[in-house]
Amino acid sequence: MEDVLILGIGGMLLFAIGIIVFVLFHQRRVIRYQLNLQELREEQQKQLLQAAIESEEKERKRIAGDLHDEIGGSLSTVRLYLLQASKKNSPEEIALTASNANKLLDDIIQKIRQLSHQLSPETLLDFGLQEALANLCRKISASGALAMSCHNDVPIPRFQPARELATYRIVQELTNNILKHAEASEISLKLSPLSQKIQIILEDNGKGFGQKEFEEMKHSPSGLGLKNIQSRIHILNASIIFTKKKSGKGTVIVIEVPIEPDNNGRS
Amino acid sequence: MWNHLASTDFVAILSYALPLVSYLVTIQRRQHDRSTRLFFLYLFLSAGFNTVNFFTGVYYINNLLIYTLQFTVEYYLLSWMFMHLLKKAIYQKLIRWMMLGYVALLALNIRRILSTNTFDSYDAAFVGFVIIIYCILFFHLQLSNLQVTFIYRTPWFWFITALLFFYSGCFLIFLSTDYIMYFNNSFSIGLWDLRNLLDIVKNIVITIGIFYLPGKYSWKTY
Repeated sequence: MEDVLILGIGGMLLFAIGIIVFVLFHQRRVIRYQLNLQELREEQQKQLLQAAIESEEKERKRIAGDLHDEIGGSLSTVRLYLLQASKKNSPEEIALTASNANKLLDDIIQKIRQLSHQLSPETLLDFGLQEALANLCRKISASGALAMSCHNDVPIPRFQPARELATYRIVQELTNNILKHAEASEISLKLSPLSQKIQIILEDNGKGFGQKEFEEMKHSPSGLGLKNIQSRIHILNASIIFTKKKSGKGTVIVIEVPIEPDNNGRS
Repeated sequence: MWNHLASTDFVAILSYALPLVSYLVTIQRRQHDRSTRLFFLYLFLSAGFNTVNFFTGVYYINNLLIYTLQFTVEYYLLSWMFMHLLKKAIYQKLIRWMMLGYVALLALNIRRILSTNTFDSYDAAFVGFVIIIYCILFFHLQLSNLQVTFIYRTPWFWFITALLFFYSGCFLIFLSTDYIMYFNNSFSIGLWDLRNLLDIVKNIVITIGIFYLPGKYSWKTY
């Protein structure tokens, strides 16, 4: 009896020591795991930041190219017309050259307007996300590249302009990707209000792109556009889910953006 | 009057001076939340009860009822303390039920408790078992919600370690005391010596924890 008791007490003490040792070691392991997780998050943040910088640089180069090649070139031609006009003697010839210069200036004004619209869509600022997305649908359909239908009849509330712009950019980037990579002939965009958030469903009939591919591309050195989408999703505290259609033909993308009231009282 | 057991009892009582003096000396400079205050109240009362038991033992006065009172007071103080430490609703519910369970056990055991010839092994073992469970739950909660980088730099790690070690060692001693006391008294004295040793270890470990108690102005950085 005494021996059993002594063994039991010893066992209980070992049990207590075992728990304490386990707590100490397990805590160290958990801390190490948390540190690794933090490092991974920091690495991902770094990648997102890098993608944002690269994207900004790419956009700057594109604007610089547009300004130099199209507007710069057209302005040089206008200058040439004006120079010619100053050398002409007959009023008819001067009028013809001035008319050519005038037409070219109209083109330049149109191009600047387009460029300005690309930089910041006026419709978005004036009429909100719903109208801006409808406008985007009309433009893509009008281009003849593919048919894009827009189903956003239910009015959605306006929210902070910066958040509206970020949401617009996400949809814009996604439609760009569909145009470039999906080999689709149709896109459908549906915008609907949910409680405290809006839902955007983008569907195409292309070759299909699932969540797995999105996660892989997001972490690969390429996939700048997807990294930008992820970065915007993160900033908006939103969610994005890519699903391949069961038929294997096409993708369904569901984006949910929480609505936060802006300072002007718009909900 | 003064025997071998009394001398180990005396050393165990003296060991209470370590955490209590350390606590009192630094009391002005430390932050004390309710759970810390309850823990030190438990320690003060334990020291008091052990002193009373020591003197009654020396003068051969029956002190078995005082032991039951000591276990009851210690159990309720520790349960109250754990109520503040284990914030999860399910744990709080468990503590409340265990507090009621102890009352039920006392009621069922009342004849044995009031008897001057028997040591209340069941209630004491129940207290030991429940405190061990609370200590494990505390560590589980700490691990599932880590808020510090080094757990051993928190006072509660040391306080709970001390309680876990003491009650784990004492659980079988409490459970068997009543039986052993009558069949092998010398072995029973040996076991009580072991209990005193565990008490001394407990007090040393608690003293280590006191030095990790946050300072009153620890939020200031210079």
